[in-house]
Amino acid sequence: MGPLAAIEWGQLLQVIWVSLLAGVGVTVLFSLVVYGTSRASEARRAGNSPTAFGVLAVLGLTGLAAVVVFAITVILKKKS
Amino acid sequence: MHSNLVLVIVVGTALAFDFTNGFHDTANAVATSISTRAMPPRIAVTIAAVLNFVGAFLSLAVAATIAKGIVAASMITPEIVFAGLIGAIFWNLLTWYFGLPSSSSHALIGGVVGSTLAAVGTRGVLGAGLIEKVIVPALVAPVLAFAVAGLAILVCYRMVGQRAPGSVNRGFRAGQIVTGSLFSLSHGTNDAQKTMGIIFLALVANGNLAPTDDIPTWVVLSAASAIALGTYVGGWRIIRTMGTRIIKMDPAQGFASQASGAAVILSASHVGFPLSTTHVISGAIMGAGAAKRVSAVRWGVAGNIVVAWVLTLPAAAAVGALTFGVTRIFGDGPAGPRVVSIVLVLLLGVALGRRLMQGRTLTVGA
Repeated sequence: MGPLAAIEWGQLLQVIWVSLLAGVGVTVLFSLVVYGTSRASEARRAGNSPTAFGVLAVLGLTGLAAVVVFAITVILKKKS
Repeated sequence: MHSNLVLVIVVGTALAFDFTNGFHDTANAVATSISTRAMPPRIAVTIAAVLNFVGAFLSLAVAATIAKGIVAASMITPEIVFAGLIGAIFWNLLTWYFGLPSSSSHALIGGVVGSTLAAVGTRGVLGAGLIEKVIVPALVAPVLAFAVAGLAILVCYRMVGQRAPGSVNRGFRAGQIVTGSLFSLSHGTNDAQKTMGIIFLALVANGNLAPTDDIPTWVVLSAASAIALGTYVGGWRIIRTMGTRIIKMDPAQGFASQASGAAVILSASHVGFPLSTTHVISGAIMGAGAAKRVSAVRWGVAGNIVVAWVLTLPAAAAVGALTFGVTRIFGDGPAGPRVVSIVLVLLLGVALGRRLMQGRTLTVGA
């Protein structure tokens, strides 16, 4: 049996795709929050309605909160 | 059952290692937040310490891997565990002195593998477990974190790059409080468990527990406390290296590094890969820097860090094996560990005393 046979490729692939999805996903969601709040305050200063950008920021924040809660839930499912 | 005195020495040494683990790895959780001024240093380390403590209770998958997946538990004696821990502590203190963010996990695993090899030869080491749970994650973790953080920061710059820098930086600094906390939590779930695993291994070796038993609550509580205390004390030398010497970080890069690092660690912890949080966050910081501009990364500093990574397993293993050899000079009873631990405590006391006499503390405020 070669050394590569010891590797659980399924688990390793899972770590890779979950990391990519979660790492990039969280950054995108928070970037939405920053983008939304920045544009909302610009719109407010220009006398326009900031609602659309505010909603975008809230959506991003909600998504971020959901990811954090999901991450903690995943940790709590002990695999020992 | 072996000597209870040896067991007490081993548990004490394991908790001392856990303290150095927290102390050494504080940088992993707080360096990016401090360098981007997302949080004041003392508040950052306090939050990190509390969340490391909490994180230690959340999952035990990695502890099980350390206790049962790297060396043959049935062949391990408390003296072997003791020698391995000394190897790990030695390497942690040496790399801290030079401000190098090396892996405490690999120091621990290297130390125990080295002392096991010295004591019982290759039959005591589970080669397949070592490859699957240590070598492969060691290769994958920094590269994966580099790629995730690099991709994340590119997407982030694309989304907010045209916005006013002031509001963007303020936003990402606030976000770093969340990602920094998540990283600390993931550090607790990953690193405190390694000491739990080692203490469990010693308890099995001493005949107090069966390999199939659960990890006792007092082990979880004491390991969580030791790593939290070490984190609170903080290894400022490494914080400086990681926070300012690899790249000059903006808050968005700090956020992307921490978010990507936490994602990698949490997903790996979940499947029981005891990967190095140091490798992950260092890889993520380099990725976030290189994605902006390849020359933004100080590759000389990065190279030193990588050399320390490569040396960690063999160096800790060598010291672990050497320590086991020294303890054997005094026979196979408690005398060896007792003499070695007394000598080391005296040496550390002298080193600490000399530093205090010079009017400096071991940690230097950022």
